[in-house]
Amino acid sequence: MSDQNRYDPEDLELLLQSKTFSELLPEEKAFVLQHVENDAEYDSIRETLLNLELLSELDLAIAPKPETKHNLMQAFEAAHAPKALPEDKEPSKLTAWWVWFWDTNKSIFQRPAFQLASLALLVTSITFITTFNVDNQVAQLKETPKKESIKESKEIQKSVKKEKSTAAPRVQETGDSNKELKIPEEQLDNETSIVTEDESLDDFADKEYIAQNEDLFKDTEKSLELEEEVSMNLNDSEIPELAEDLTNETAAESLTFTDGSNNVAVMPTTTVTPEVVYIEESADFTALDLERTSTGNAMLFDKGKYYLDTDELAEAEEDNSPPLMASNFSSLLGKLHTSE
Amino acid sequence: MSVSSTYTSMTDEELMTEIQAGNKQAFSSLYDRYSGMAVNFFYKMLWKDREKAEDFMQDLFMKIVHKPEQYDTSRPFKTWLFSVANNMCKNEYRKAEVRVKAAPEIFQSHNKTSANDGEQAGDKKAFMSELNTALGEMDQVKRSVFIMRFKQGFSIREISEVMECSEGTVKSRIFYTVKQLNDKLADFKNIAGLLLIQLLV
Repeated sequence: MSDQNRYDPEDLELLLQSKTFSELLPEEKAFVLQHVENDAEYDSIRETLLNLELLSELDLAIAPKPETKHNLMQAFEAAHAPKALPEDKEPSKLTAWWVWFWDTNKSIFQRPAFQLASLALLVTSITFITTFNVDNQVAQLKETPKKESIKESKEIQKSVKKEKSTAAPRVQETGDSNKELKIPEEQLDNETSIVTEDESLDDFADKEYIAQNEDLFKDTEKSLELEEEVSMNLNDSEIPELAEDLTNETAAESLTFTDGSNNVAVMPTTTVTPEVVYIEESADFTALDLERTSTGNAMLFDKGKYYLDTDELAEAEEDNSPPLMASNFSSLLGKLHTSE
Repeated sequence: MSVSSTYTSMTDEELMTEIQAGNKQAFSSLYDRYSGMAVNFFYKMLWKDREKAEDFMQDLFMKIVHKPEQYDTSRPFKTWLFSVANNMCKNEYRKAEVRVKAAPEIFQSHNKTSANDGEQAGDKKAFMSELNTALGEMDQVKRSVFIMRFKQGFSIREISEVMECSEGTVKSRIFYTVKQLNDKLADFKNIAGLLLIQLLV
């Protein structure tokens, strides 16, 4: 076994403490001389080491100040106050709850109060965002062209009118000075009610749809409200434009107009199926009714505002023999006179 | 058996377990055991500045007061405590280096004052002063090893645990520290010997 294997540098302290250089074994001397230059240095270091050990024991030590312990004990008491309390002096439930809720021994992220507040903030944010989106959707719906809602309501009316037109009497020409077309009182009464109880819905193609909206059909007020919702103001000058627009309406399009005080409802469809041109009647004015009972087409005009002369009506009837097409409707509408 | 004797007979680790449970008496007992060692360790490590040593010792025990859970009771408490203390000294040395670089004349004048005081107070003080100066000029690791070995009476194993190195490394460091001191204290060797003889007689 070589000296290197028997002696490690850490053993030098042991050798220095225990032996002088002369007392070292030959292999120990060989090992020691790898770390010191000669025997004199070895003995010098040994002397220093022994002196240091003894002087260290004699070195004056300082004692901690009494107030340091006092401060530390106070700090300990404060830091561990809840744990140090005896059972009979346990904090009240409210205090205990608060201690749990806002535990100062935990980091702020681990405190229940912070966690609950974060959760509440999250829920509020989600609710706000959701509500905000719904509001946007509602706003978009409000901005949706009224045609869509008109279409929906008028489809209902169209269906009802179809049924009515099959059973309603033709418009009677009174032949009086005003050359206005009059509708029998009982018919007008019937027409104010879009669907009467004795009218059968059996002939409607979409019975299920009608059944679903039966209440609406029976309720005149609701119907009128619906009419108002889908109405728009119309000036006299706009009528020709309207007529042109209507002829360009695509399939199943429908519109309702009003001149302001009186409802002038127009509900054309431009499909090849029978069209309905309908002007709603109200209690404030009579209506000129041009109905095509055979096809279900119908047209009512406000007497007070818009009307056709008798000959014009006859011509219109001739030109617009059923079915009344949208292409003809524009010319018919253009002939409307105003009483003013 | 009184309460105080109960705590006196408990091991450091058992006391720390009690302290973690908020036991004030356990803390008092542990403080009594280690406050002296700690304050002297800081005193010797921090340029014999008593006020600084007191402050550091208080800070050390404040760590136990506020975060006793940081101590792992499976480890020996003594080595853990002096590991923390040693790290505090390391930080202080770093700060001191900055201060010395910023104002070297202050540091030099401080050392001179200490040496002059020693010379005026006698051979023993002069030797101790020179020893402290030599220690002060050593790097922090050697100084820590030396103080723990010769001033605190730590075993090689305890020093290795505090310093987080092998026992062989500790022994090697001790040897080279002694060798370095031997060169620096050559002029005082006879004085030291005489002092020792006087003191022992």
